[in-house]
Amino acid sequence: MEVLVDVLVVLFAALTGASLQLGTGTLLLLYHEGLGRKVPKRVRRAASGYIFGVLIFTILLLATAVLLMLLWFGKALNEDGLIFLASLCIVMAGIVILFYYRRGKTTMLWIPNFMAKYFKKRAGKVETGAEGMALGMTATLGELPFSIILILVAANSLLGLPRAGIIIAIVAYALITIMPILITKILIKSGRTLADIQRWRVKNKMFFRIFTGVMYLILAIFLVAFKVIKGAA
Amino acid sequence: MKVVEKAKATYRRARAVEAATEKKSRQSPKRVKFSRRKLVSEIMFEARVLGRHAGAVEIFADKVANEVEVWAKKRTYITEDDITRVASEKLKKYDKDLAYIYKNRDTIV
Repeated sequence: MEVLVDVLVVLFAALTGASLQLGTGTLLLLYHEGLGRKVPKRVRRAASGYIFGVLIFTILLLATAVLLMLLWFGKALNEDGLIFLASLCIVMAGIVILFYYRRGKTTMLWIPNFMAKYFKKRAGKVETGAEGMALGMTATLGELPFSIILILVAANSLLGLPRAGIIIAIVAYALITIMPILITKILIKSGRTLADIQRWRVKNKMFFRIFTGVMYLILAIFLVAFKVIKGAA
Repeated sequence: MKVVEKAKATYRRARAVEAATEKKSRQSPKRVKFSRRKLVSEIMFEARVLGRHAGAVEIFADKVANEVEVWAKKRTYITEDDITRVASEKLKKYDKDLAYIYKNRDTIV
């Protein structure tokens, strides 16, 4: 039962991370700038590098969080730590529902203007797979204010799994998180235009906003119900 | 002497009008000069993003640029957003997807 709860927490954290939009938006920017400059082959290579960069950096971040938790605490967090994480999840739910997306018929995010301009500039200059990988890592870093809670919650739950299970779960978390980016690449490769994808994103913006907020709340409830209350009992 | 004073007064009035225009552009979105070449190249850029045939797009890109130029000449103060808005409205007649992506090119992230 404990292992099942830990696996579910990691799964929910991964699904919440997958619903965040900076990674997908930056990939679309990459395609937009690359295809506009008439370099489709380089864009495909850069997009593959981008996805690889996001995957690797997510695995690194999660593995680092698990290692640091093990070094500092020796085991999973105690009740105080779990309550702190749960309250952060509730705060993030409110922030995501109210502020994550900017207003209007747009998928612009609540990130500083200089950061948005930086991503656009970098996406325009990417030519190789390595540069795409670096952009992927930067996008994951840019998402960190929203994803750090998910990484900490997942890392805490991973410590409850057997050793081999930790590695499998870390890779599974990263794969689930990059699923929307992979699907976007497959859709573009299959012939969908950026206009179609962008229209779909704008149309389903409210759904993503509510889904992400609710997922943060579910994580908080799981932590409190299955780790704090059940642990105390 | 009267001619010189008159010239000075005209110069001062012209400087006052320029200063007032500059002040307005610092307060509100930046005033730009309409550039036909820039507009056509932006439309062609977005057409490449969507994989449209360049030759076909060139034809209506010129028409759109003409229409926007006529609109811009009637106005003393235009911004980048105004040009984008008007150009995307004119583009809708020819290619809806192109108009959409042109209008929303800066709102992906």
